[in-house]
Amino acid sequence: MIRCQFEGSNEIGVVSRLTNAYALTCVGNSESFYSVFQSELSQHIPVVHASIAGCRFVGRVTVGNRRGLLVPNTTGDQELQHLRNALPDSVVVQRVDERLSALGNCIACNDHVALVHTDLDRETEDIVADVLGVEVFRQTICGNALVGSYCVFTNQGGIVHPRTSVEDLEELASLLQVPLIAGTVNRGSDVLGAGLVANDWAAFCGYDTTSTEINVLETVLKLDDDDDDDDDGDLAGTSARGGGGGPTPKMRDALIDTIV
Amino acid sequence: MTTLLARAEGGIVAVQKRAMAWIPQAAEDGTVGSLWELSYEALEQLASLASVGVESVEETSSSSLSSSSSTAAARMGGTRGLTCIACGLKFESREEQTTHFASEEHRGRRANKVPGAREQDLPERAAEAASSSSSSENSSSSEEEEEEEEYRGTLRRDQRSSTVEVSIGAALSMSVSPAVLRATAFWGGRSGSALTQAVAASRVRALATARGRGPLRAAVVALRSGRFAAALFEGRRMTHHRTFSRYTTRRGQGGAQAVVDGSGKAPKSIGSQLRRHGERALSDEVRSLLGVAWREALASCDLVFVAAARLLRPVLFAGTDNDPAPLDARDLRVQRLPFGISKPTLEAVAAAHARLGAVLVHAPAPRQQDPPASPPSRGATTPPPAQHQKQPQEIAAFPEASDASRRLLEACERGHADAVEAVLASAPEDLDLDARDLVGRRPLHLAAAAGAARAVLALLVAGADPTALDERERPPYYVSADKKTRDAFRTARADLGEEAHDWAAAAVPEGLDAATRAAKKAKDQEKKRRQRDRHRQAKQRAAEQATLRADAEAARIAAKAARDLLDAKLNACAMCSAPIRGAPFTRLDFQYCSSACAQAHRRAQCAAAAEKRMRDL
Repeated sequence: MIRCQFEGSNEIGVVSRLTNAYALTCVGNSESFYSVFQSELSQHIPVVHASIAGCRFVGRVTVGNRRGLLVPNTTGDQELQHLRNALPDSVVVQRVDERLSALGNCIACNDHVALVHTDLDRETEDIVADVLGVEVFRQTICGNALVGSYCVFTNQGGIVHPRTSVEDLEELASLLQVPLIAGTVNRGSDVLGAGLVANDWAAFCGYDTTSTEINVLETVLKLDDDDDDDDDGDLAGTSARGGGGGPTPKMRDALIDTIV
Repeated sequence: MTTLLARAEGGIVAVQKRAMAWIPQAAEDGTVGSLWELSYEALEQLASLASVGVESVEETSSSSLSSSSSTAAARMGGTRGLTCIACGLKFESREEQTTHFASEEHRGRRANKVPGAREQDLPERAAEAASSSSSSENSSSSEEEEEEEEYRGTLRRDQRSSTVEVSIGAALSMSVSPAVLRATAFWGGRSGSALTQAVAASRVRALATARGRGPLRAAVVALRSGRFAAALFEGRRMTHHRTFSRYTTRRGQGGAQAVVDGSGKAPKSIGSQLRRHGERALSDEVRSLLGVAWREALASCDLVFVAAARLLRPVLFAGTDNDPAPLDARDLRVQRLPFGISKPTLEAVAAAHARLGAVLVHAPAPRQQDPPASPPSRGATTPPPAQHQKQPQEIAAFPEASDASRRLLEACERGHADAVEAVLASAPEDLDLDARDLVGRRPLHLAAAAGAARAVLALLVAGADPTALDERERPPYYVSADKKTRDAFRTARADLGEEAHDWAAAAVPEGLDAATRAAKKAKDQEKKRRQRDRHRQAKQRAAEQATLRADAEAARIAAKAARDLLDAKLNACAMCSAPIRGAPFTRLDFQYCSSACAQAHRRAQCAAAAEKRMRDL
């Protein structure tokens, strides 16, 4: 779990999109944000600079998984072409004509299931199912239709809005078939989609995120660091590591690292 | 053998075709019958059939209880979460759940849930849903379903269409309107909570008992927006009916006059006076009708369904010694109508009655999912009568079957402190203060959740255990609805003493003894008094300031008038004394309004000087 900022803002989910097959980041004034992603991910998946409709909020208007990427109809032809060139061939990039164009806010998905906004078009729902290869459920997160903003889940686990009731949580867990937990990022922010991007083996959150929150996130997203090879670019200050199986052994490792 | 499922908006049943002879015209799939027409035998048979599944319910409920003590992770893998909270449904498997989420019915609901979307006309939607579900089930299932029974005590509850469907196995599934059931057995099914088939069975039995005395008598009373409609039914036949209409709400804007009056401003317009009179008149008419003219008839009803706006409930339920209430809210026969109706009219009331009793017959969907762990072997035929005879004892043996305990649970769930106290005061031997309902909640939990502080205190004083846990392993204190209820627990802790229970385990904080309560009350009063004082002082200050401002204003106006006067004098024409407009004409030190005045003044001065000279000579 890496903490980072984008130009002083902790809402990194707004400007980036992370899946198991690729990562998108926006074009920033400085490359520091991009380089955090680059250093952590580039050995495994492409990290792509992108813009949508000339804007930087790529995370909030796109949605995708390892099979595909959906972009809103405001995306320019050049931008679309750039994405198609940069992403692996196995990833289908599709433009969607949808009134609710902030797809990232309205759809949340992993490689198997997707939650979508209750008002989403039938056609869009079909596209989501076909392109991303997922089961689609129309659902709300504790009464809020913006499922993409209020939950983040991967194939390993997920985190939902802190006020989600136990019954809702159980229902969602049953639908998504992954363990879920209600929690926050960025020191109490309930807008999880904006504060956190995650795939099955890496996650980034805003710089304000507390160690307690990180602990919860790492536990539920099962971010055990068994392989140490992607730690190379990781500076001590930008990383906070906690337990996957349990915090104690992890903590001991970290201590030894520091001493050695 | 053909298995048919009879499902009702209000009541229902699915049994093998053979066993369904008692439903009129039940031969055809999709036929609509009426609960109100069922014979005593039919209901009795239905109750017997329904109670067949009780054993399996016991099994499943006990297993779910044991699982509740296991870890959260295990729960995740279990049946928990197999729900659709939006539609109020429970499922047996994830396949069923996903199928439901993909269904049109669910999509429609979801759209309605979104803020701003309006709730559609319920009866129509329910009818649509029923017809669409039956048609889809027809197409998907071969009607021939010869099958070993699956003993599954499951329950589906559809809150919007107010149907409870209990599947008792392939041989029988049934659903009954919760309101009908609640009224016929002393058992609560809170809106969100599960109703098991054992409960359903006992309710149907009670309904049958009522039927045994004669045709089912039901009353439907609707009161809203100055309109009143009520009808009494015997079976399906309407025996009495009456409607009233008065002008009580503003046309156009809507809203009852009483609401406006209650909000602090009481307008004195003619319209508002007419509306107030309308409200009084309507109340009088309704009370004299229900309380006097229909008194006997109402008393003989087995079920009374009321659809009244909250504001108008006192018309039906509030009473004094001289003027008793026409209906008693604590009377278990009296129920809220479980669905919305349109404008209270005779047609709407009759339609509501028909809907409560509607039985829709259709073929059940095939069940391809997991067979239960240990299905007891039983033939696919209707159970023999001997088995029926056995059932009542089985129900009685069920932990919560004690009548007194049921009444206690019911009263607690409804939050009726009086009823709770009455049950406790009568103190029958079989009263179990820590009885569980089928979901595992106990009287104390129900009372606490209902926010009935007085009932909580009464229960604790009577000896109920505050450390008993519910199905989610919460002590009663934890589910308290409000501060008053929590204080009731703390009061009990102080009153009963530290030794009475393990208060720490009950999660009840430090006791609230009489002295503390008195001190707190005094403090509150003091606070209130200070607040009042502050308020008064602020008002006084405001008044003083207003006076000062008024004085200053008066002084300013006077000063301005004086200044104007002075200006006027300085600006006056030296000849005609009229105020000068524009630039003055000047001659020597004088100012004039016009050249004519200047000439006239010069001549007058010359004349005056000449006259003076002449006099001096």
